[in-house]
Amino acid sequence: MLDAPTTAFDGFAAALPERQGSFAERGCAMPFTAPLLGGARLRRSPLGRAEVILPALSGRGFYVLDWSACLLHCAPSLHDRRLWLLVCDQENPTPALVRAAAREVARQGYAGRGAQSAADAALRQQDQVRDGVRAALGKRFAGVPGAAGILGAMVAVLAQAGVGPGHLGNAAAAALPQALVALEAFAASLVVWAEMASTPQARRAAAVAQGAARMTLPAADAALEALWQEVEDLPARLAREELRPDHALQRLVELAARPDWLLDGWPTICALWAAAGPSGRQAALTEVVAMLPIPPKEADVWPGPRVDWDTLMRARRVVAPAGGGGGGGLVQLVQRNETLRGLAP
Amino acid sequence: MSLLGGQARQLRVALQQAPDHAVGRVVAMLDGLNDRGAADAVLDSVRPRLRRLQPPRPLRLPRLLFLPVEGALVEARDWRPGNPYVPRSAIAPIAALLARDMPALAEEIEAAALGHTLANRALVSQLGGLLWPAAGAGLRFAIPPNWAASGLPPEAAEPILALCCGLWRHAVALWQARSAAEEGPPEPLVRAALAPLALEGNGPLTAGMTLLLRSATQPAQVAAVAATLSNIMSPLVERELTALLVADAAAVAEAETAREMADTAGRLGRRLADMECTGTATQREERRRQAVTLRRDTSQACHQHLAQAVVKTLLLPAVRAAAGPPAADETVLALEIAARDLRQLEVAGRRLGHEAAFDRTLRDALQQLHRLAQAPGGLGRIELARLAEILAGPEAGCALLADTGRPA
Repeated sequence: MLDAPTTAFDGFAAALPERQGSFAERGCAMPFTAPLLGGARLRRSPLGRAEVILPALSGRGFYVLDWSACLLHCAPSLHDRRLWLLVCDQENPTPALVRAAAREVARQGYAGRGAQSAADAALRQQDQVRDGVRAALGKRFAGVPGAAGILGAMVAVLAQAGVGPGHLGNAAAAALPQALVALEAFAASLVVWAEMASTPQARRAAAVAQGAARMTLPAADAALEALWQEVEDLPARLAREELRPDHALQRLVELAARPDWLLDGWPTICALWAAAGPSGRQAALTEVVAMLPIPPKEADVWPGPRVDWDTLMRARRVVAPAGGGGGGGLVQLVQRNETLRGLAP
Repeated sequence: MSLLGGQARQLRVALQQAPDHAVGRVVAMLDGLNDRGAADAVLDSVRPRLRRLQPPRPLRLPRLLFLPVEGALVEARDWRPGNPYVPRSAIAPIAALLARDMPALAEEIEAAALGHTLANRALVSQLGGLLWPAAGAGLRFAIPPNWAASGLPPEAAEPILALCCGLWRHAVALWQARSAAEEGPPEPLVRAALAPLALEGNGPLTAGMTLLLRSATQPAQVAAVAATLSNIMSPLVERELTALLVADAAAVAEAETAREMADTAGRLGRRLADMECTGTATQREERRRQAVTLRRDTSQACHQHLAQAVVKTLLLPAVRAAAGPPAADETVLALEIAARDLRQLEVAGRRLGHEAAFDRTLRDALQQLHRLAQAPGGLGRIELARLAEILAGPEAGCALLADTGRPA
């Protein structure tokens, strides 16, 4: 997010609640590279139009823009325009769809060679995970009535989440468990940084970001565990005919989406922090605080410990808003954001 | 390790002739020497260039101690008795005096600073917060050990130490303002830094003001605060502001690369804008008059450099890459770095003037990229579109893709 003439955005301010009701209302994190589109999310409006939600420049509230307004006011990069083309027609945009589209755009070279190589590597790794999941499920569901018909779809559903620790053999780690590890490392790094922070304001910002990470971790962890447990239990339930295969698949789709939604937006934040280096971390933290992925109320009924997001949001309100997009001019910020695409493909 | 006379001479010549990228390595080697006197003598010959290049310097006790004093530092040959300056040759003896009088603190600082550079701003603030107030309050007036090596008379020690102590006593606030230089620094920080220095006397106030002016993006705001704190400051700050602008313009002219010229021209542009809108009507008028010439000369220099560099660093290498096999990552990366540097130079130069000339040069460069995109070869269309985007914005990238039948 970058400071810009406030008047350009004034007309797009929307009275959205700070904490939305559902993930669909909150929208999917869009890894755009244009600085003015930092922290953007894509969602469908109640009328079915694709729209972009941006955190307000003041640090409080949101702007809601359609793509033509983004083109006019936010200078989307070639990468962003291509990514938008791939996802704007999705009826129900999800983090998985956006991730796949973003990887494809990066693979085509729109974010530079670094992001291109990272996307290639991520796609190769995804294929390895898929093979590992296929082998694990094949073994687990061998001879289970009705399982053969949904096995291929189950592999696709579990390709990002895996099937639990130790089940993939030598296959690479799946994307979501990896994102959890990165989030854990981010939270730990914040603790160390906060001890060295020179101002109370910086320490407060670190505490807010760390709090959000620490509150997300157990929820995402529980969501992954619930998914893996379901996969574990499924052969027996299918064998006992407690569930029809199509219902079982639907249940897996829903459970696999939960950790993805909970972690949506965090990989970019972790990459932003990692890329900042010691001297840029205070500025990076201001950006991070403005784009923290606060889960909507929908997540409150999901398994996992109950956490008090309202207190965290109150604490965030007293942290100074992001003003300069992490410092540097537009050209450097685009380059920085392309680097993030390489770190979080 | 120390330097023999012949080695020092050789190093001085090597440093003067070294390209920018090599200067950092030589400076790092010199920073590792025990004999600071010899190292400083070698570095003196390239100090203006060091200010420009800002290679990472190791965080050491003497360097940390004298950070808030930088505004008063002069070469030993420029120091005169009675002048409110601190000759660089006094740094090592005064740091030795501190280490002798406050050994525990000196050891603590040395240990904590080990392996860090001045780029670690949080650590600089943290350790400075320990060191400076203690030095300001606790350093006794005495002839520092090995003072003779500074080449200064014994009677010079006391006024120099008094000036340093005056700055150290208020260095935490001064450094806080200095650290916020990119944001102005904001007026409340400037006032909090300079007001206590004014009570110490004109020497510390001038040194503090100079330190802030040199790094400020809004130096006129610093000058305005300083002028309210002492009657004698008004003419002095105007002189300092003029000197600052002249030095900035010289740095633009001396810049050897597009990036360096963009940085220096950008800084000059921000400072000119600040100075033209701050101060009394008479001051603003006088500054605007000075600014006209500076803007004209520096924007012309920027455009000339851009016109040459766009061919040399972007178009010719792009033509070569397009004519060959699929370009290696390093080749594409180098082209994109060149395009970014050129874009920054164009933005910074355009703000100073000669807009039409910049437009013309960009248009010509984009035409060349469009021509290459018709038969892309070693560089793909998307890569060429990215070069156009970096150079002139996303619309230029879209236009190139559309021109080749593949809209973004």
